[in-house]
Amino acid sequence: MREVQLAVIGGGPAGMAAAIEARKNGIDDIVIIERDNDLGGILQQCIHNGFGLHIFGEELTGPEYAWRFSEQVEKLGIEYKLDTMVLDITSERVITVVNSEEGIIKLKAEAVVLAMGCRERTRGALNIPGTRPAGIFTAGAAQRFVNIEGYLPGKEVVILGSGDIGLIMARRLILEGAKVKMVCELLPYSSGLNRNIVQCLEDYDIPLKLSHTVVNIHGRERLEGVTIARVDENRRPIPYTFEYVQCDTLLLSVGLIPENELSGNTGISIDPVTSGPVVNESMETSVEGIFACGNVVHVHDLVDYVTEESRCAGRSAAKYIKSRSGPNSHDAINVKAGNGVRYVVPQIIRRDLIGKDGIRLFFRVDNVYTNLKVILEADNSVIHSVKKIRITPGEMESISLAKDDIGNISINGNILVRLDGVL
Amino acid sequence: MNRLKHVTCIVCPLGCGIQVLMNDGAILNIAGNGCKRGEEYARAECTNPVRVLTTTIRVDGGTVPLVSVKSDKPLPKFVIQECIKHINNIIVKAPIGMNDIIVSNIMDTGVNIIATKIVGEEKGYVKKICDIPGSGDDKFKGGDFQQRCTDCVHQKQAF
Repeated sequence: MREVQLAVIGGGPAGMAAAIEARKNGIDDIVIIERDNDLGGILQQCIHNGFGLHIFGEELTGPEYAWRFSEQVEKLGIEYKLDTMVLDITSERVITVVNSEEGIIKLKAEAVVLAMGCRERTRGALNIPGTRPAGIFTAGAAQRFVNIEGYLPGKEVVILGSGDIGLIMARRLILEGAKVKMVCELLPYSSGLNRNIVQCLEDYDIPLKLSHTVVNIHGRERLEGVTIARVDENRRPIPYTFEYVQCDTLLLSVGLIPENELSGNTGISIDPVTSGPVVNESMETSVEGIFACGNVVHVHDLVDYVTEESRCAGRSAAKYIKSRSGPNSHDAINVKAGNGVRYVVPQIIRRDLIGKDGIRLFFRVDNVYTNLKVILEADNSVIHSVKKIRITPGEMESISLAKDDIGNISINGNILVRLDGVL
Repeated sequence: MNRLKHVTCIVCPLGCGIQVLMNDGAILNIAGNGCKRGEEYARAECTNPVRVLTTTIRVDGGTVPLVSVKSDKPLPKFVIQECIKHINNIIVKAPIGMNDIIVSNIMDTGVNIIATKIVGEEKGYVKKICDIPGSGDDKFKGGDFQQRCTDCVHQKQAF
């Protein structure tokens, strides 16, 4: 069995950033395992611009952003295996991989970084009734067809879900000659960025139907149309608002789920809200030597945050390989989500491992709120608060915690992140 | 005649709805913006709206069928449709380097369309498209093909 120091599962932005950082921290023997035929992950199909403002100070397209990292991977001589699928990872960090050249092989790694990204929710997850014709795609699958493979999935399109991928695809399909009839959104607000609503929908006069959903699918071989309906405040379709819309294609942009199929056998704890591993300040999971970063942990809006988080995971993995100090060797403080907050990452902070810069907690709220305070509370007293004019579930928020604040929290205590005035 | 134009601000996540009162291209009043930057954005949107164009171009003889491209500067919004029509008729030959210029000075805007991806040459590649101007794959069937394509790789393969 081949032995490596660090195995990185996934060659997208998270995996590449983690591997690069581990190499810069003195780890020589690294292998990145990627199932696609190129490094870069989903960035390769995100050909629109707007990536990298925080880290590079310019607006790059997805492939350009990926290239900045893959070029470094090459320069640093980090080994990567393409077209290679990981079949299993054990808690002892034995990784079973398969590809068409080597067959099934096993690797034993001193440390593992999980960077598998996320998956799209499908029609099955929504239980949309109706027939099962061709022409129903997740937005990301359609994006790959259009931007990588060169196929147009259809000519008359309805998009369900106003997340950013759905909005971006609306514009993309129009530029490639399709007609996009409308974007339906179940919620009374869009979860996409304003910029995308303006530049992808308003620029092309595509109607955004808020509080609308698809309630039926028609057509035998190919999709012929969908029935849409308005929903009430409980998100239930209102019968007299049913309307038939002719289309040959339905795109679903209805949410992303961290891809933790492989995490199961390692025995790491999964957070039921994020659907990703529970991690500490070092992006280490509950199993010694297994780290995680990027969308496999929680779904991010900005790739720059993925990069930051993954650099931390790479650094921590390098430190672990050198020192062999596991996740349970320090006093832990649990970070909890309170009123109005869905989740907080990291879920665990070990206070003696927090550097002088403190730590940034990332969280998502459960609704749209205006004019309120985000409160950080420990041992029933407020340690930090930040005012927000507007806060929405679609945008990941963060709050910084100074090292001094953490020092005063009792051992095995809790930090609560909550919104003020929300019951 | 006065006309009210609605602009959704994209400067920050607040997304203010801004009303711009216009008369024959001139701005008379801007209202609804929460800050100074919003006013500037609304002014630009109503006088000279620009967008960065990102799309793909067909590749001949590459390891992948498409190369992703972008305009190296924002293009005036009104020329985007024309640029897309132009771009959709282009086929570019591999290999392509990062940020190579694919179309220079598109539609006389002073803006270049540049590659945002590296595309290598396909190994053992047989040229699929003839060099003769105005010809395409379909025209090369049968005798016509042999006559017209004197030095096309297609010919060597087919005959």
